[in-house]
Amino acid sequence: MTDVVLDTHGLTSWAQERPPRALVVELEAAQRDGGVVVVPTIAVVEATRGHPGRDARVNLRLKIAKTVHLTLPLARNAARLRAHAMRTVSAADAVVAATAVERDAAVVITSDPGDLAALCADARVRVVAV
Amino acid sequence: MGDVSGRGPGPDAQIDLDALADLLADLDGGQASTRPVSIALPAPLADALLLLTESGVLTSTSAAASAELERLVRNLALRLQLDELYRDRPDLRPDEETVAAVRARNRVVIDQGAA
Repeated sequence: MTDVVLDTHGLTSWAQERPPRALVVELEAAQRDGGVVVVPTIAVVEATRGHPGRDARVNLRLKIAKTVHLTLPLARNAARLRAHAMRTVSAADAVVAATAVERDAAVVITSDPGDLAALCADARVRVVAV
Repeated sequence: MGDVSGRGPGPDAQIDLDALADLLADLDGGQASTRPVSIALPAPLADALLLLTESGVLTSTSAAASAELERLVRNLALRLQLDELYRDRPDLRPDEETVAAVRARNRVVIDQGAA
C-alpha cells in the first residue's frame, strides 16, 4: 500500500499553514498512487490539547486521515517491535511503527527517524524525517 | 494500487472540502448508520463477489465495498487538500521529477513486501 503513516510531529507538520516540503512530496506521491494518510490515535493524544481553537488545524486534517485505534493485537505488535528494537524507544513510536507494519504502509513520516528505523528494521517501510 | 491520479477532481473543481471532511469524520469509528444503495457492477465482478462471499473468503460484500470506497474518498479528499495548499502556496507544489522519484522508491518498498 502507498499509505503514509504520520507520527505526532508528522501530524502537526501536516497541520501547519506551510507544511515541510518533504512531507508535501510524500503526500503528493502517495495520493497519486491511491494512498491515504494514516494516523494512529496515540498521535492525537500528543498532538492535541483538547482546545477546539488551538487544535482546529490538526482536527481538520484528522477528518481526512484514516485514524487507527489501539487494539489489543496492535498493542501486542507494538510491544514486540519495541522489545526487538536495539535501543530505547517510546511506546508511542512503537505504536506508530506497528500501525505502519499492520497496514503495509510504504512510508512513515516522523521526527524520530532513528527510533522508527530501529522499530521498522524488519519491515518494508520507508522512514522519512520532517 | 495503480496510478489513480486520473480520478482527481482537478485544480478547478468546486468541491466543498470542509463538507467532505465532516462526512469523513462522521464515518470514523465505524459507528455510522448504514443506508442501502443500488449500484451497477459489471456482471462478472458481481459474480466474483458472490463466489467469494459464498465460499467464506469474503465475509461481507457490503463491508468490503465500504472499505474500498472509503479509501477512495479519503484519497480524493487528500487530493483536494493538496490542491488547496498549492493554490495558497504555489511554491510548495513539488516538481514532477521529485514526485516520480518518491513514487519509484515507494514501488520498491511495495515490491519488496510482495516478494
